[in-house]
Amino acid sequence: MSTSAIGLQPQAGDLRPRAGDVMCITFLGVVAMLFAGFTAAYFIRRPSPDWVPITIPAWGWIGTGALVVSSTLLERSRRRQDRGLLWASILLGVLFLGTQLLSWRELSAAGVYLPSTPHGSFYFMLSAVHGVHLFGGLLALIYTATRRSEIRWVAGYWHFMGLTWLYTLLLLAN
Amino acid sequence: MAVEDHSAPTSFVKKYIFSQDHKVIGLQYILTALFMAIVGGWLAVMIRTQITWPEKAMVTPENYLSLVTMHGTIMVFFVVSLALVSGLGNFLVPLMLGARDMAYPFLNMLSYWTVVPACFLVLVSFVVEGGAAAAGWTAYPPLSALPEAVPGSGLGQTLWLLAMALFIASFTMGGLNYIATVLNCRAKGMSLMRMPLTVWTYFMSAVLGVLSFPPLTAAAIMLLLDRHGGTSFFLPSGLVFNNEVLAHEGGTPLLFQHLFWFLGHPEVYVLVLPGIGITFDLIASFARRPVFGYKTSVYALWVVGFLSMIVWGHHMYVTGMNPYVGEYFSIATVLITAPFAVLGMNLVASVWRSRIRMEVPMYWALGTVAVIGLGGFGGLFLATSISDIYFHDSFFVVGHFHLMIGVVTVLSTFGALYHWFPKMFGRVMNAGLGKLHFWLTYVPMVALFFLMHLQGMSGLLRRYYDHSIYEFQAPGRELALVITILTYAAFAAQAIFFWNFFYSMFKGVKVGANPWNATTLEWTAPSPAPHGNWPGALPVVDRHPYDYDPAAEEDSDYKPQGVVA
Repeated sequence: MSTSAIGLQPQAGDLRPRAGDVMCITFLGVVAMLFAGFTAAYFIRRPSPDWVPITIPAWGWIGTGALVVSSTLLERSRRRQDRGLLWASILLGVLFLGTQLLSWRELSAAGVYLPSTPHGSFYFMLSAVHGVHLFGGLLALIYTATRRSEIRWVAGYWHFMGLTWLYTLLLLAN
Repeated sequence: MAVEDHSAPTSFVKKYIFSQDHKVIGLQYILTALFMAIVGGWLAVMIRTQITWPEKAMVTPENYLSLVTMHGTIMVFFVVSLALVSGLGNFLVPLMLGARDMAYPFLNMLSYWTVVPACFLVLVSFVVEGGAAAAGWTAYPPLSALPEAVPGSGLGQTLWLLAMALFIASFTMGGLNYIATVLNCRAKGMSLMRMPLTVWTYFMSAVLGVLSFPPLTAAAIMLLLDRHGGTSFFLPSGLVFNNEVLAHEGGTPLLFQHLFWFLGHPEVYVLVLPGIGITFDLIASFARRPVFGYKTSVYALWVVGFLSMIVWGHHMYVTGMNPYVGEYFSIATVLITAPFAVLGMNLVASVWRSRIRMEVPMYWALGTVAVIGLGGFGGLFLATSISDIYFHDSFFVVGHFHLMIGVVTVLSTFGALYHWFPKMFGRVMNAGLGKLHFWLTYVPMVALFFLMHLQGMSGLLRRYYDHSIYEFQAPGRELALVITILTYAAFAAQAIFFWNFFYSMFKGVKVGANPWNATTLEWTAPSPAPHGNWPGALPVVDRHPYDYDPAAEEDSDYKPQGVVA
């Protein structure tokens, strides 16, 4: 056997899904189950008497807008193969993380800290967990932009992160 | 990224340490697990010694709780998960599918090197201030949520949480890789319904793991915040420590239990299912017949997998849940017996009236089948809330789950190691020692966990440091000495295995590619399989995985699943 490359991809003309697709969808399933776990916890915890509702920070909504625009730009950059738009999308992602920090400041200025009320605890925790996942997506986007590698799965993940944040915010706001 | 280039590594480090070859990674997992098994087994020996002779007070009560906690944690997550699921799975899945490697070899390497620091943290936690975690392998709050609760709730519990976080990350990477490999890297002609049952069970196990671990991650994050961030997700109001009322309020420990068991129950199937799949393959090889009811087994696996995710509440019957909820969980749990009976009957029917060849792996396979039946019966009593309320937290539970996720998994792991050892090293393990190892492991292990059922029926409770101070537990204690001696015997017998394993690795009898005349695809690769698994082209599959002909002559009664073109 020569030591040169051995093709590991299935043969051509095969109907099976691409490995990256399977990987991406399954990983989205993992993240979805993580937030499903938090959702269950949220609904079980909410009826208790110490639940003092907080006002959802305005910065949270502004950040959501940034993510929506970021996802739109990302799709455009995919269609037009435009790397400028990709960088703009990345920038908006960074901006979103900034607005999250501002929303934390907004809460603490109003006297809501991590342990103050369970509603606040959930806000801080879920935005942090989401932020960490989004940060991973951001790194992947930067990797894609600099290495010019395939964007399909990173884009899927990025849109999913946007949706997850919208879901989280609606969960916390209702 | 999915592996375009996969040249054979040349340097020692890339070949044996930071290897991306699924066979090397599989062995790394197995060796790590064998080491952790010695630690976990030694903890079991210490636990038994303490409860048999409590008056000697070999360990302090706090340390005893650490022993129980760490024995469970190590055995479930760092022995069985690593050896059976990550280790053997890594080794077998690509070979059985006719693939060069896993779909993502780099991710595979990453997943192994993520679990190594987790093992390290677990071991280190024994020597930190306060000792290792002591809240049980289930880490129930408030014991796990208040660093000041018991000595082990301090740094030990924090290290436990960190180790679990790394383990979950590693296991999730592994699960994703299995799913992608099964769906993408099958050889030409290897349709899903031509996959060996071993691969089916690994696939099912990966799906369950990937779906059920994330909610535990959520619980672990909340636990971490309760411990270090002052939040009250799990901590109720009115907890008093050192005559001071804690500031926490409104949380509920039950929430943690729900999230924990949402993982905890499927986790049982994550571990047991590959054991069952391996047993099917071993039985086919040595009963010289196609497994009985291949398709029904595959369907039954899916039903088991689905049901396993909606029955977690049967671990919580005594927590004060609504009786109707308990009723639901009882019914759903008892329903699992239906698909499980299908699997069990198919296993038995596969052997029925066959020309059995009693080679070493077959001993372990038949032993596994017997224990699935025996352990499963105990499950009926625990599935039903009415009887479980009596048995809860007794040794009946300890005996039951050890038979299922202890003995079934350990027996099938050993069977698999004896069976596929030639594929790993090109040599066989010594058969005489293998049989001796079987009897000296099987008899004491099954006996001791069976006797624990009896102890539990008489009311002996688990996790107690000293049963002797309670009069009502005296009848249960009568069997303690016997069980302890059997434990020592089972533990000591593993020396035979270790000797046989490492000696045969270098000095065992050399064999060819297919020493058992088996049909699945891995036996068409050379032994030991080279990097890339098949030196030339990949095999092409043209038949189902168990093409044995019981009517044919002894040495021509099988047709391998693939032909190497």
